[in-house]
Amino acid sequence: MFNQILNRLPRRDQIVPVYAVIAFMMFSWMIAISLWKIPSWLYFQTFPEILAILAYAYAEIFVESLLILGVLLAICFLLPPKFLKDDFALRGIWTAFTVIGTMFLYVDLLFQTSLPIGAWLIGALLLASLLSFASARIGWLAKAVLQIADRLIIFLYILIPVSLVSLLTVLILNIK
Amino acid sequence: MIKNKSRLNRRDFLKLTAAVAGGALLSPVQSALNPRAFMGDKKPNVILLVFDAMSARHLSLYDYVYNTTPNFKRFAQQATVYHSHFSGGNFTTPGTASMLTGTYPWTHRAINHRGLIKRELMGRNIFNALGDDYFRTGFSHNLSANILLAQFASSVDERIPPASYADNFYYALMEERFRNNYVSAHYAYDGLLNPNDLETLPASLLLGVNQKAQYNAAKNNKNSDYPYGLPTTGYVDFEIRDTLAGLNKTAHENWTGGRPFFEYFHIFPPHQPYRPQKDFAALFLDAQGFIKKPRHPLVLNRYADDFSKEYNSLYDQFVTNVDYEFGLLLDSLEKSGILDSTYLIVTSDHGETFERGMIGHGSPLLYDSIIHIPLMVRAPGQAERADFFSVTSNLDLAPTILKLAGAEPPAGLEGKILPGFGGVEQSDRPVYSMQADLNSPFRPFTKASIALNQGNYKLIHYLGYPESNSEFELYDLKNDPHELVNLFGKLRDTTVDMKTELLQALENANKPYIRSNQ
Repeated sequence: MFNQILNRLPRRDQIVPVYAVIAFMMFSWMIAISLWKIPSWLYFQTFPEILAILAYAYAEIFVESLLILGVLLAICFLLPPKFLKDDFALRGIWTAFTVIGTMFLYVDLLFQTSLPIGAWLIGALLLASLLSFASARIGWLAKAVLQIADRLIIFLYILIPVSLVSLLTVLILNIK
Repeated sequence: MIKNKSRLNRRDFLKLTAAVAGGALLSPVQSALNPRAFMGDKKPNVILLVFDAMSARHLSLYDYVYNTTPNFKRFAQQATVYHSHFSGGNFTTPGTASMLTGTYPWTHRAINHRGLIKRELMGRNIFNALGDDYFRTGFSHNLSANILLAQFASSVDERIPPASYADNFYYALMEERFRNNYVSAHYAYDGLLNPNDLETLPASLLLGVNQKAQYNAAKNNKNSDYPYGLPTTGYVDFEIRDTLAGLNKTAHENWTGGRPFFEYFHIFPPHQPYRPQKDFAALFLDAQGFIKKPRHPLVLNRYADDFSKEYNSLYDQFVTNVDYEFGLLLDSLEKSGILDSTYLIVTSDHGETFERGMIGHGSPLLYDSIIHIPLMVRAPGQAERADFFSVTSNLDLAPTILKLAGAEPPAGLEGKILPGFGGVEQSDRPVYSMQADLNSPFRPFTKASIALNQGNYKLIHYLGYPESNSEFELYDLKNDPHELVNLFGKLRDTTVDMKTELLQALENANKPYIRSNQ
């Protein structure tokens, strides 16, 4: 039973680059906005208070990045292997890239669009399919995407430990 | 304010005379307001109802041109009304912190937008001072006041989450999940990951997308009762009636709970956006309440007069809407008998302005419309109205409530017990308001505006604002209530006395923050 479930999921070496892309995009966005906020916090917060805020932020983004990866794996599990699982690294990267990229646009361009969230999401998935299809046929593009994702893995060596410490900090701060 | 003077000068003599005369005059009023005659030795309950951004200048209770507050006037018939009551700050954080700690912004240091009370002073608040004898409840729609409540968490028996009387799963969940460390969680979530102002980018894409999708959906949900949309705090839509019903329900629960209770309810309206119900939306359209005044150089986003007029009308409509809902609450509280054993205090945290190019509050301006707030206190069983015209401050609420509750006031309170409730009417008392949003709370004040109200006069000092036309402004509020004629330097004695007093207070405030090598 357990093996059956595992067989429907991609291999670990296929999952890691996808997670690297998700984590890189989401953490970069959070860090960029934090850097914009920190000067104002320094104005009226103490250093430990600012570290506590950042712990919440890292923990939240860590959980969210795992959630997005989880959704991709769930789709993998539910759909026939040829849709996503067979070439998970490439298709997963494109899906993560377009869905997260779409979120950037959605939160940034709110006041210039009245498109509902569903339309944005469908657009993102269509674009992801198109890019996956195209890159599977254009060898150098697929190679470039995978190599970039591979290089992003190094950031996980920093982001995951920091996130785990942050998660622990948040748990300790909220113990009754 | 402590002065290092050994001899009795003219001002001290006036203060002493006023205090003696006030004490003599007040004794009959005080006996009329004696709740002990009504309640015996039982400790009274206290409900502190704060309407956010309610300027006394827009209330018919204080002779505004329109009849905006008939229910406030009805309430006032059996209450004590303070006519010159000022907030310690001109936006929620300093105003509320002053009210709940009984100290000036220069002491509590919650001076920045959504700032915090100085950590060493966190225990010095009204909830803590009331002690375990009281069941203490706190609610605020306004996140800036809610974060202060979170600082007092260990002394608040029941802290009601800010979105409790509205349908907002996210905020209820957040309060529940991070109850023990809400202050940091608040800054992380409401300030960074999912800011409640929609113009700031969220650091969490998932939360941000969810919030903005909800916002888009809400835009399409038109409510025929609200032509401008439902009242909103920015992060949650609500109805005033539901919130006041929440107050009523909590009061009933607390009333039957066995312990005396203290209930602090901070309601967002009439704070902007002004969204009155349709029954009020056609009122006051000729904007007679708007008075054209010269533009002020310290107002950055200067609005045209036509725009200010329009917003002035909208605000008056919203105030009338709030008053109507307050009337319903009052009926219910009276009918239930809660008010027979409960002090009901109605006030605001700061005012609102539509003058000199400014709409709203929180700029360096400290004119009356922004800092002059309503205050009415009804004692249990009070049958007659009492009026006090001398200058009082919202710092006075903490010592007054503690006196009513028979609790020991914490050391270092800067407020005084209100006249009519054990305090003495002092015609020459200095009362300060300040705005120092651009100043670090950990450093001396170098950029701030400070107003000193004393007797009929008000002195405003703009510190560190070279772009202002003048460093000081002095107004005679009795003869020039709209603050149009700057008398600074013209009334020589008053100018010198008030300037000396204000600068001395500022120097005292800065002393603990000046390093020895500076």
